[in-house]
Amino acid sequence: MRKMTFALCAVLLFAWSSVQAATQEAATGRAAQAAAPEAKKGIVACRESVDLSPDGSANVTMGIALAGWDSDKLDLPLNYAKPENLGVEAGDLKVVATAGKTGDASVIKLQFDGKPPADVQIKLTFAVKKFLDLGKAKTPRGIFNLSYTFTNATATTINKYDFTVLLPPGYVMNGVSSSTPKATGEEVVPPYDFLAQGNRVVVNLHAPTVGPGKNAAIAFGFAKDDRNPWPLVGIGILISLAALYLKRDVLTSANYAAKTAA
Amino acid sequence: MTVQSTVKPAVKSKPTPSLQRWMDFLGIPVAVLVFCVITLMPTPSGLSMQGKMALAIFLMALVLWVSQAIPVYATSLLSMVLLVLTGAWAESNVLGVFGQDVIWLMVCAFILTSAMIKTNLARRIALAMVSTFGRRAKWALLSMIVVNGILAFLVPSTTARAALLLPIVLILADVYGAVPGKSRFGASMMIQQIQSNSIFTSGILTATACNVMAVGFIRTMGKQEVFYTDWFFAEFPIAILTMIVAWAVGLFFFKPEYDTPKGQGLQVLHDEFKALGKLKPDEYKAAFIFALTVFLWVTDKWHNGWFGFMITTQMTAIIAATLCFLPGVGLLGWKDTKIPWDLMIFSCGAYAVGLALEASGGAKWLLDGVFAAAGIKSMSFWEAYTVVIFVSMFSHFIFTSKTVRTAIVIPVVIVLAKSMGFNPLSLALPAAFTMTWTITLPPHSKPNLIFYGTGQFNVTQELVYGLAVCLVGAVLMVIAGPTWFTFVGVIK
Repeated sequence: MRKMTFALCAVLLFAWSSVQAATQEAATGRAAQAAAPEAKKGIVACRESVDLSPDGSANVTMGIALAGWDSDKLDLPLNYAKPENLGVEAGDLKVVATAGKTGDASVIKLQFDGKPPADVQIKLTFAVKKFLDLGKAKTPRGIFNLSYTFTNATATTINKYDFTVLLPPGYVMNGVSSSTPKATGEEVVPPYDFLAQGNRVVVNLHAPTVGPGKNAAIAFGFAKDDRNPWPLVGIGILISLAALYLKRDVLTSANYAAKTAA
Repeated sequence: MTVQSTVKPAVKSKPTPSLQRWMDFLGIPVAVLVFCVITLMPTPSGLSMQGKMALAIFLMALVLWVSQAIPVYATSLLSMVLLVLTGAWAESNVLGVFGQDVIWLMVCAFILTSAMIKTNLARRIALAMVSTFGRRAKWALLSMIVVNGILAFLVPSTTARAALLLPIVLILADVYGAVPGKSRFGASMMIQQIQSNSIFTSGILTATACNVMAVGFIRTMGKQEVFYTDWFFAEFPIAILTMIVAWAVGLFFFKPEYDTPKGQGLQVLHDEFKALGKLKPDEYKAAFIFALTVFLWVTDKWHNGWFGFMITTQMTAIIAATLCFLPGVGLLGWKDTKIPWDLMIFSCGAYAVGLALEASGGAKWLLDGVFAAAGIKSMSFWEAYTVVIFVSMFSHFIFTSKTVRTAIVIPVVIVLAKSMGFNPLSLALPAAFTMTWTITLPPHSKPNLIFYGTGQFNVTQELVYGLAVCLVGAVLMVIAGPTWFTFVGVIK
């Protein structure tokens, strides 16, 4: 009887596990079917790179990759106030770039000399005097908060967007407070990262797509890594000495076990 | 039938080991030193200042928890203060930890446990188990390991399984006279529950979400399928073998004070069991609440189809706790509940430190640093395999979430395998088998916190026992690489 019961339990256990396994495999199969690749056209990639100076000004470089663009003009979203020294390069393609508005949205208007070739890379450069107002951005703790939002004010989906900030020399990343896309901690490629490049720290934001009217954004803090060590060292020594004094009988006490149990 | 008692002399209070005294004496200065050194070092590449501070607080807290130079809950409170004052984590985040599902789950698990104990249902189950399987202490320990292993097939949540077994093991510990904080039997029973919960979970693909997630990464990034049976046949034998060794190691580390319950003959327990008589109405109510809880936990993946919404593990626990308090239906008044609030405070602080380390990127930075420092890229396959097993096994030290750990470790291993020209499955799947091994410190997982809440063991005991079992597990997996894993096709 016991053996029968045991065998029955084993069969039930296996059946239950099989149901769970089948459910899981069916779900993963559906997920695999859903992921079919698509050929990309239009604005294939947009990359903004901000070289930040200690005074808050910045030199900005924008790189645009177009594929199968069938118009002789393009309005790019401009998310900086008063760009200066606007320059543009597009290989053999002649392009004129001007800052302006489309409706309420600030844009850089690109006028091509005819329809662009199938694939074209465009590089824009300009300077922004007050990219970051250091007075307003600095917190009492000495951290500068930088928040940047890229709004795609065009009617075209941007298929890949990257934003890079080079912090001024001697500054380090304090931490990212928010980002769009949001970081969940469970993605394979996190939406942002930061690493040292020589004596500068580079902060990167990656967004797989930014649809018309949608945003990609990052808010982070950075600070000078020049903390005065002596106050902390002094406090540390005081606490350590006090602890050693207060626990001076721990090594010798006869009723240590009773004390610690209490 | 009278069973001959093999009573051993009552445990005398042995002289405290000098190591414990030295740790107590030096704990604070060492913790201060660790904190100051990390805080004042230049921020390394890829690590934010918040990450550096979270790391400093994490390691400082680790020293204090292990040395027990100050009470563990005081360390937690200190850590929470430091997280905010150093800017490592926002105050709202730190305080918000008290609202985490794990804290609610712990509170409700202890309410349900209180009901089970008050009605004597837990005692009845424990006495029945002891009479059948646990006539001697070591078999009682083994039977609870086996029960945990069986439940792993049925309840796809490690936390739910821990909450389910909590009342039973508490009474079993009581039956064997385990005084919280003083009993070796109690310590080994609770720690073995944590270990069997984690290790059996590693052998069953569907026993926790992070296993399924790891398989997803292997499919999407490694372009290979892993099925339920592939996982089961490869890892479950290793899990069983490890738990047998873990049980034996437990008997060595924590030799039970008594060989039989409270050093008495089993007849006493038989008499006590008989004296309980037939099931009382309150016991039926407790059994119903318990059964409903188990039912909701076991069937969670069908809730959406049945109810149109999902009843989560923690919400199920809250439902159970509510039923326990309902007038007429319920079993408890607030004064009957025994919730260890000092350990809740400890849990909050420990969880806050772990979450801050993960959120700031400190944990990932450490993991990448360890792989780089090991020089893995210039290694042969078996050397790299060994490093991956050990690093992924012990990576749980710096994570509080298995899911986050899986999301960080497995993609790193897949990319590593590809860049070295190895089959991604051969490194990533064995690494995935280690993702549920979270057995060395209380904040490492929710079951850890739940069992730590019993007060039966301290941090040092779990750390030493957990490290030993992790080492055994890692060595077994390294041995299994060229043998069992190759035979079943995990390593190609």
